[in-house]
Amino acid sequence: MISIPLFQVALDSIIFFGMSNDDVVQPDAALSQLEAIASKLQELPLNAKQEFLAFVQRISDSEEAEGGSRERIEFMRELGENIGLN
Amino acid sequence: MNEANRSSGSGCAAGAATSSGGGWWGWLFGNEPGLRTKLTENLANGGFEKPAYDPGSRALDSLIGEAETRKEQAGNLMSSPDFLNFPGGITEQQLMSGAGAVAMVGISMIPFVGEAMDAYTVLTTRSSVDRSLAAASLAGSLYTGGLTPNYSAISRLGSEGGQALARNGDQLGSGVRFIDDAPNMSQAARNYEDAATGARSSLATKRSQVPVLDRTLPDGSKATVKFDGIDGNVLIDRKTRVTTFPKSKDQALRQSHALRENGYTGRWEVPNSAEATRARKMLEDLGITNIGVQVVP
Repeated sequence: MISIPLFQVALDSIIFFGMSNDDVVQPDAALSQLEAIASKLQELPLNAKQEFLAFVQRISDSEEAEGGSRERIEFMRELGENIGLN
Repeated sequence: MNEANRSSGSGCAAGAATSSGGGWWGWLFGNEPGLRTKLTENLANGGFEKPAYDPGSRALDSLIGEAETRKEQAGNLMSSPDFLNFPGGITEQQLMSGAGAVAMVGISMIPFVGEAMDAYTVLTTRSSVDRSLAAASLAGSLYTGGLTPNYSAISRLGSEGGQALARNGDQLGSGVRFIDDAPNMSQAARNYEDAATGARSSLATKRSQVPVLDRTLPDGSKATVKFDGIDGNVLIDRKTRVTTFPKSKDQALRQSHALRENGYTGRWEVPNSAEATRARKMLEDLGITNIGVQVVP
């Protein structure tokens, strides 16, 4: 079982690099980091990948219930597909 | 050199050359009569001036120091922004390296500077081949009064200037230039990207360098698009994994635009067929036809 805080760090990093404006993070550098994170997540065992995706789903549901950003929630819901874990 | 010094230097050399070969002159040149005659003739004909010269002494250090200072001055001049502002985008490091090598050859033409460089190589280099060639060059220069080229300077030109030109020679005027890339990714990812054809690193900064193209934005300004390597007229982007975020699609469109604007095509290199399939689908969905995909494990 992977630690929940580590899942949170991974998710926060993906959201930061994936959603930051180009004047905050140079877009090629941001994508390079997203690809590096994706590469490591894809190396996880299957059950750990499923745990991570379930964690992301819980967070997005929670933020939706709290009236969080629609854009951010959509980003999380498409994260598994976009990062190649689905 | 003023008149007094010139007289003193010539007198010293002439006196030594006509002596029985004792002292440092004999140690350096030996007692071979043809060599002494040749040197004396050169001095008499004004072929060169000979400053006080004592191998391993402050005189040698001074000559080497002068050569290094002039090389640095030449490098500083050529690395100025105005000097760099021409098509082709030779990097500052390449200019510094190439200019330094060319300057070193020029400086070696000053009487006894080239010989000092050879002597320095003989005394300090670890390579027996370099040491032997520098010694032969030194002997040849002394026999001909400095008319033969000096090995150390030419060796420097070959190793640094040649590399600088070879690295960039096929890209002059093409719109591709190289920039340092910050060490912000894991070593495994760095190794994969650095293995792309045409990838290189900077001797000066010890950082990887990546090729970039400029693309024109709608407002007329320019923005750079980074790649990982270059293979002829194909710019390479190596991807450890293919992602399909909006930023991933934006990058593909930026690359496609820059490639088309500069007359290149692109190639994404990915580690396996699953990533290649994802990459091809995304490029197809975006209508991009000037970027191919290749599996490179």
